[in-house]
Amino acid sequence: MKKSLADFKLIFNKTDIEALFISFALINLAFLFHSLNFMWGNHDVGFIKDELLLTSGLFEGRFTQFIPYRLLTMGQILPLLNNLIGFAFLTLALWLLAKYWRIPVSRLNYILFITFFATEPYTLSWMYFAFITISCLLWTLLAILGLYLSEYIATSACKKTLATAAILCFYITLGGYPPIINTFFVCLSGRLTIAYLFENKSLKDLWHTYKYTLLNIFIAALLFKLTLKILPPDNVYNLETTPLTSLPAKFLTTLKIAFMQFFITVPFMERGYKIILALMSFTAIIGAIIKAPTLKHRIFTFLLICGTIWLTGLTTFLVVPHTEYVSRIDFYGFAFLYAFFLALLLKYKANISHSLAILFMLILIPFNIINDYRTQKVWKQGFNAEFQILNRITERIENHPNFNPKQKYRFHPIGDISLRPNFYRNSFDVDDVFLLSLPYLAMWQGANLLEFYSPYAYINHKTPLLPSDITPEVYDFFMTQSRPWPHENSIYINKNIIIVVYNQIGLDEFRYKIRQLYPQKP
Amino acid sequence: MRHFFNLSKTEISCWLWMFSALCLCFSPLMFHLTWGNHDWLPLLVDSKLSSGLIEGRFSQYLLLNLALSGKILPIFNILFGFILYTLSLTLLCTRFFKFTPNKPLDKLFLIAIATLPYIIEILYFHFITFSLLSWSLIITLSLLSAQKAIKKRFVYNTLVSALLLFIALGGYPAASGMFATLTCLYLIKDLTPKYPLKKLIQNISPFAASFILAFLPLPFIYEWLKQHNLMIEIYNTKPETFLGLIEKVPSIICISIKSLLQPQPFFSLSFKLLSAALIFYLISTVLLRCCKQKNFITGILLTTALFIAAKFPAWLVKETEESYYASHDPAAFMVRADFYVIPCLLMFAFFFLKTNAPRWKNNLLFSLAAILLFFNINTNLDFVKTYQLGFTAENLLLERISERFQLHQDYKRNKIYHITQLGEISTRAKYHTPAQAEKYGYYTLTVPFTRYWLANEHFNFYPATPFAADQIAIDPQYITPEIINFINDKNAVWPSEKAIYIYEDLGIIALTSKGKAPFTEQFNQFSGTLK
Repeated sequence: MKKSLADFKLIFNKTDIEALFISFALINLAFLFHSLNFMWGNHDVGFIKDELLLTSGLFEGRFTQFIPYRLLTMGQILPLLNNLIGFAFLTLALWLLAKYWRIPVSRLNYILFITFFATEPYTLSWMYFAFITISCLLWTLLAILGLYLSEYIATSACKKTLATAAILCFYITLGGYPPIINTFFVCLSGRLTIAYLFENKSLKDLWHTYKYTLLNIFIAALLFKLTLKILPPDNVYNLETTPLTSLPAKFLTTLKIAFMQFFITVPFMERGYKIILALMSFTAIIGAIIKAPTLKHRIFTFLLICGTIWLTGLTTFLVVPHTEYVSRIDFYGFAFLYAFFLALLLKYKANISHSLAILFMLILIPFNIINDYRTQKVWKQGFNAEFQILNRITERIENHPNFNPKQKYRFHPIGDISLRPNFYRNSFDVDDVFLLSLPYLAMWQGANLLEFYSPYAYINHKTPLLPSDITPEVYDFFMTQSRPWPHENSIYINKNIIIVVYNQIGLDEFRYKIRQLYPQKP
Repeated sequence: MRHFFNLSKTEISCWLWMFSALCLCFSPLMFHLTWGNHDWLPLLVDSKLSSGLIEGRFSQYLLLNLALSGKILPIFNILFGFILYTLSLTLLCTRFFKFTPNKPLDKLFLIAIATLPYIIEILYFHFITFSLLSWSLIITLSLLSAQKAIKKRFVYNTLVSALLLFIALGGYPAASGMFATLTCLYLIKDLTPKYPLKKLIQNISPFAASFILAFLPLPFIYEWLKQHNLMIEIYNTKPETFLGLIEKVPSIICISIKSLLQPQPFFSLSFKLLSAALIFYLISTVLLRCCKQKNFITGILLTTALFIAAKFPAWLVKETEESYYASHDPAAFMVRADFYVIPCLLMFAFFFLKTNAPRWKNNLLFSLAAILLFFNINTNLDFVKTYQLGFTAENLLLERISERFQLHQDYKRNKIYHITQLGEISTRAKYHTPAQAEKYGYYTLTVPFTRYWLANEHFNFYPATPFAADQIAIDPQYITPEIINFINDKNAVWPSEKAIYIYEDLGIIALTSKGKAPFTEQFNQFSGTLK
């Protein structure tokens, strides 16, 4: 075992251990407030009380998503530990990436590289939903491990073992969260650029070494598709792939999106921050052009870098739903691109390059941490505000003369309330639901939410609102009297049903549905 | 005393590892001040030295007053407690048993021991967390003194040992299990071939003397406190008779074994089996060794004593079978009593079994410790989660009840009401997935954060002006047709709008039908007598 690890240069030396510990501590410091204030997203409500099962992710085709939870926390979402384990995986993943990209080994280089990536606000997008934090941060480690092992296949005697291990890594990660494919290709493309630029490898050499990586990814993707066929998931939004005929047009759209990412601002990643990141990226690209010895090399280097940038939008290219400028997708792609540019700066031999890298990091890491804390503050305020509303709703329900806790009601929430945006006043080009606008009190989790802090279990979780529940009285109430929260008519309770109106849009939609069901008063 | 605290590098390193691991497990609790149902008042008013007299715990607040002036402070209470507790484990390992924990494997053992979830029940009540954790250090010092008395200045060291143990027992008598268990383990470790009886007596005498001297004054003190109306008769202060103690031996051994295997909330069957396997592995090794050394009878006697010592509080206390606590929180399955015993026992098992063991045994022990640590971290944080969610839910409920009370048509501002709370609502169990066949878990899971007899404390906690006073007996002047209707209306229970009754300075809050039923019965008897 030790020998195998030594063969793959995976033995931790003193520098590695120190860098890992310091980076891990810094990452935890950046997210300490979140780790100590147990918050959870709107998908987590049920899972916080109960356990995550191995099958919990099957309905959306994520068949490996909860394996890490079953193995590491016995299926529970636990305060503190959730983040700690996730960060441990992320730290290891970035250490492995530093090795994969051959960043010069030094404690400072590794600390800068790991801390910069992990403290970017993209990481927070995986902390909104507590039930996938560990898995989705583990996938980065497995993805990079797959790439790392694949690289050794060309020179190793045990090709089959390495290939199997790499395919397994890719397959597990794809089964957990398919957009991880961005990480595969951005990191691979980054590696190709580095090998071409710094290791004087010809394109033929590159093909010889990295064809195995491509093949492994292809086999894993094929197995993933086959698995989905065997375990047909429900028809959910995130599995629809772009038709072949649309791919050429989408190639250009993706290219545009990939480059626009440098400038489009999202919540907590504002103009100034993006400009500094773009400046760092631009400096790294200029450095690469200067470093390339001939014009041919410069052209190829430039093309490889452009390809790497395009690959950050690979998921957007492959799937129908809009995934552009979504922080949790960008975590697997665009964030790695920034890391790649930092790696380039750290790799150039010129002193000025290293000094520039340190200078950028001296600005960007504190900037990251400040942005992280702003995010955590807004999240906590939003979380408290939304749960206060939930408590007031519970109070109204408990006070209602028609309410009896021993009875089971069919529950229907209308609309939802998102209060995080109330605590964030800065402007941005594109909203990001996970970082800012997704509500904690989500409509479809209404029943679980209502019972979350209540001492009673009064909701019939099996049966939703039935057409027969729309009696003339209910019809009248919702057509004429009902108003959104906090109006006294925002809550309706009779013997069988409880309906809560959170917002006007939801109420309008509900009225529309009722009218479709009963054009006339029933 | 200086000798005990002159720590070596290894000891400091062990201490820091254990302390850090414990802090990591409970940091969410440390940084968020959450408290148990007896803490409402102590949070506002400092605990005085005499605050524990009511239950006969005359030294309970000694250390809390010395260290924190009797205050409950966020972070500090738990942090200081952890410092003392982990120091006690370090001293036990290095000084009392004289193990040398200088390898990484030893550190793993110690971390796995320090983070054992038996500590969770100690953390429920904030007002005694610090003292309960500190007793382990006081008892360790007492044991070290007794150990020293074997070789040097018998009388002086025995007296010091007895005094320290007396202080600890005065704070929490159930901690006596730790002294008894560790004495047995010390004797087991010291067993040599053809162990002479004289040596056994010589070794045991300072421990026995210290124990007797520490225990002897307790009944007299309790009697004196009761005579002066300073102490009330409570469930856990009645000692067993001498004959009763002898009669209870077989049953206590059975209970001791049963409790090692009985799943409890936060102690799953897997966890119990794992720790029990380690303990039985230790016992079989000891017996085997005794057999080889022709000391089999001594071995049998010591292991029997060990099983009794492990349940020492249950053995000593006379428990009335029909009492509320006997069914909900029986002394034999009290996690807080196990806290003083099981970690020491497991620590001894790890190090004793490791000594001179072949490599495969070391690997086995390493695996066991790693799995135990895995269970510990998960269990501790599961407890933290359940505790915090339950605390939030019950505080929100308290807020809703208070609001409803203050919005009641008969409520008058600036008036103080004698509040009678009928029933209790506990929510922690909602956030816990029970393991198969688990039982008990009174303080770890089921007890509510607001007790009915302390209603004035929690209802006065958050409002701007206090409105609640102690519960009073219902005098004839309060008996009106409205109160009769309220008490006899089965539906007038929370969250019904009729759940609150206010008349003059009397406030009744009916939370549950179960809590209201005995009150209704008593009231009807009383009003019937009046008629």
